[in-house]
Amino acid sequence: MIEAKDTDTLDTRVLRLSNYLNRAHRHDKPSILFALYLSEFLRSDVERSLSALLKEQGLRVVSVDAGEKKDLPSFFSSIDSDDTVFFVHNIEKGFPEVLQFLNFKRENLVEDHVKVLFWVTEEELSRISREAPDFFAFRNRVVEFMEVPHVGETRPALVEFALEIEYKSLDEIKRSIELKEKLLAELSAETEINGYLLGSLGSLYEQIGLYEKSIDCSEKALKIAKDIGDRHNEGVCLGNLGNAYNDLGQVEKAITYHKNALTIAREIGDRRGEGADLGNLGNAYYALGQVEKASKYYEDALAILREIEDRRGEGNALGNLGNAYSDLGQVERAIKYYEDALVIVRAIGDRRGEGKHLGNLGLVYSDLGQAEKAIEYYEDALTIAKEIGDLHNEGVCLGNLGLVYSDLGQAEKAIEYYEDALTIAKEIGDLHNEGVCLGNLGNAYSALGQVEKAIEYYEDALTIGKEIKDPRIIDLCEKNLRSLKNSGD
Amino acid sequence: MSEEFIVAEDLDLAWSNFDPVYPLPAGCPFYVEPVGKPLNGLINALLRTHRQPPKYFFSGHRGCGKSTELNRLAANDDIKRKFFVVKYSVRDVCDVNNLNYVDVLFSIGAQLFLQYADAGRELRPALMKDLEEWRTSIEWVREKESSFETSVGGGIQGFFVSVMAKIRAEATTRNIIRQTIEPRLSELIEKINLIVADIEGREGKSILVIIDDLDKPNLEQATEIFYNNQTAITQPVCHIVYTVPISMFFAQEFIAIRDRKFSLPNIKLHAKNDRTSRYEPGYGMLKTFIFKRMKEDLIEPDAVDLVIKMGAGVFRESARIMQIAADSAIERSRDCIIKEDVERAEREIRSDFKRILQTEDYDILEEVYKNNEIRGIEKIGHLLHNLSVLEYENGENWCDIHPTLENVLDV
Repeated sequence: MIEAKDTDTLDTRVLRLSNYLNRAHRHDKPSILFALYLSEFLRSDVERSLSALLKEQGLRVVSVDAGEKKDLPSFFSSIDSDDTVFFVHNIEKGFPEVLQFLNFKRENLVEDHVKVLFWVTEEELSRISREAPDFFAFRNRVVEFMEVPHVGETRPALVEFALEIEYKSLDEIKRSIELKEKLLAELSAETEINGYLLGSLGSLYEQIGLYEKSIDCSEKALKIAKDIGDRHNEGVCLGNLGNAYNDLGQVEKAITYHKNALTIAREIGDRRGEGADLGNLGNAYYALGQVEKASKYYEDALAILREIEDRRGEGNALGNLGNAYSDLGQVERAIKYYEDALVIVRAIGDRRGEGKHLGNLGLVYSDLGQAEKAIEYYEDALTIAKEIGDLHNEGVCLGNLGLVYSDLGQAEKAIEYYEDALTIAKEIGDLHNEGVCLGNLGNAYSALGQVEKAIEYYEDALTIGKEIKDPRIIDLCEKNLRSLKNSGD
Repeated sequence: MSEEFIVAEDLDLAWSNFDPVYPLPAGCPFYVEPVGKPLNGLINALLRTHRQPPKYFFSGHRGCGKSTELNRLAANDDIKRKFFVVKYSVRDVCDVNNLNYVDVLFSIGAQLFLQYADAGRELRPALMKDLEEWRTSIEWVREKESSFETSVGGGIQGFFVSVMAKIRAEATTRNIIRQTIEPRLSELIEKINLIVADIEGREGKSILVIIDDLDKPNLEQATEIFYNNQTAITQPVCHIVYTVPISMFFAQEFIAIRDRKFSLPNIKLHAKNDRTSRYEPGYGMLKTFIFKRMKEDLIEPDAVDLVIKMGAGVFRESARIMQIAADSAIERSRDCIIKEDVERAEREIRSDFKRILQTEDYDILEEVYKNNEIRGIEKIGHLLHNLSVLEYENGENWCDIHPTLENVLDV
């Protein structure tokens, strides 16, 4: 028998949940609701609208990852208040324990008048109803959002989401990548949106250090952009490719990409893109050691970014100028730039950027021989990195702290930091930093006179350097290995 | 929880009054006594004179009002005249997910002691001394293996509280406690019986222990507690009402306790093998159930009939359907529930079933649909549990599929 489908519009159903929770709040009643979804994108869209509605009504949404908080009833009790609505995600990751806790502590939810909405797929809900039957018997309503997004209706939101590449924490980046990959599979027929998705994946993968994946996505996106004549996205993809090759140390290749991107940006009058491309060219020349040329590009980028009031970009450019002047030995100027950058990132609440600039100030003071001040900045940067879950920067800070202690002649302490940094680099698959840490460990053991151990580390670093084709790591390791082996002969 | 029980004059309050998860306190004006007053059987049995204090096993299908009825039992005047009542939920004192008979017995001793103390009464000093010595012997054994701090006061009271807390929350300590107490179980039972005798002597009343939520453990754990250790759990010399999982009543092993079982039936709405008939007392009772909570003009008559039919004679399910229907009417800016609202609720509940049921379940449902017989409890136990099959009794027991599923089957 064919069931008549729920023909209510999406908005009606979102409103249904919102009104339900609001009514439960007024009557001080518990609510155990389920939102059943098929498409991740639709879920995130529905969730956003619902959150906004609940906030308007003075309710507070607390999101919970069931994979992390398996004893949900206790978690609810620990932070529940009258105006709290819990959104539970990833319930599958908490199976089976999460089901047992729910089943046997279901009364706690009722006694505490908990209002909770579980975001579930059909399979998850089916397991909940079978394996936590007592809990499921306490449900109030199940609201279905089983449609595949109609690209027509949701196109603007989809495009906006597909293009989004600025995220504050590593977790957010990973979540975004996960969602975008799923969408890519869902919307395989939507060429243009696929292009946007691939383009932003290219940038996101680059941000977490997965350069091969980044290049793969960017190239696919580039092809689509060319096919459909999307000049804007063509420029974006070229820029992302440039960044990835720059990260891989293939700087000449990077420069070609960035120059092509710049040409397109100028051609179509994309000032934002132009600013970004100039900044990226600055990065490339900086990597080549042509620091003066780099700083010229950064200055040009800064002018444009200020003109279009791109505060985030401005912060980046100032930070990069700081890097450049620091390399040119104009330390005070560098410090001024970093401090200006710091003001901007703090103003726009960019914790990630704040961590980066603090780390750079640490580097400058370290170069000035002010180890204590350097350590202070690194520690501040480290705190932020931990707070926002930015493992990449956490690793960098740890590595830099290692360098300072190494400068202070405390090789053992340095080794501890390097090892912590190494653990993180391995955890996040950041091959570049892994190579750097191994190299630094080689240096430290070499300083301690433990030649065999040093050689071992250099060789490991070299392997990675070759794998990611990073000329700096390769050079450093080969040089050091040669001299160690010669001195041993 | 709403402490006021007002007959709703609008759907907003009606929505609130049909909260499906709230067991009613004794004396609540929303209460409707089931046809045949099933609790009276248990009350009368408890009030009778017995040579040995009896143990009763109380059960019922999910959502049929077990906790509400146990609240009424504990508050019954005749019961209170004859008994000092100690009622608690095993879920508040044990880990229901990992429960054995030692925990249950220990909880009985602890709750007797603690609730008597909470009532401001005292046990006789010689018994306190005896318990103190027993505690020291247990704690000494206990501390040899694990050094945990006793944070809840001192003495025997603190001991019961802290051991209960550990049985409830800490897996390793729980095992140590079980291993310590189990070989000396006769001592624990002896202490329980000494407490029972002392309270009974001082109060001039018998003791009735009512344990709710013992129907929550899975069948395997329930079998371990109620069957494999039946001797132990029937040894305390007080009246005890144990809640048990309904599936226990169907299992062969439990024939022995069948004369001690009380079950709360679902409300019959039609005759066996005649789905078109209406059992009016059932309909009448559920109408009372609905209209004690809201005014009659908030729902159209044909909608009421559909609510009752789709609620399948189960209180919680009927409340759930009413709540969804009220929600639906409010959403459509109506001030009265119409049949269409109830049909929405019906669809929502049917969808929930379709997610639970597996392919092979449909064959069984079809068989039940055709002949209304329980053939092979091992096959339909889980269906009874998820309410896709419902049991009714009138002289003989029979069952039927959940009415929302009728149009899913190929019949």
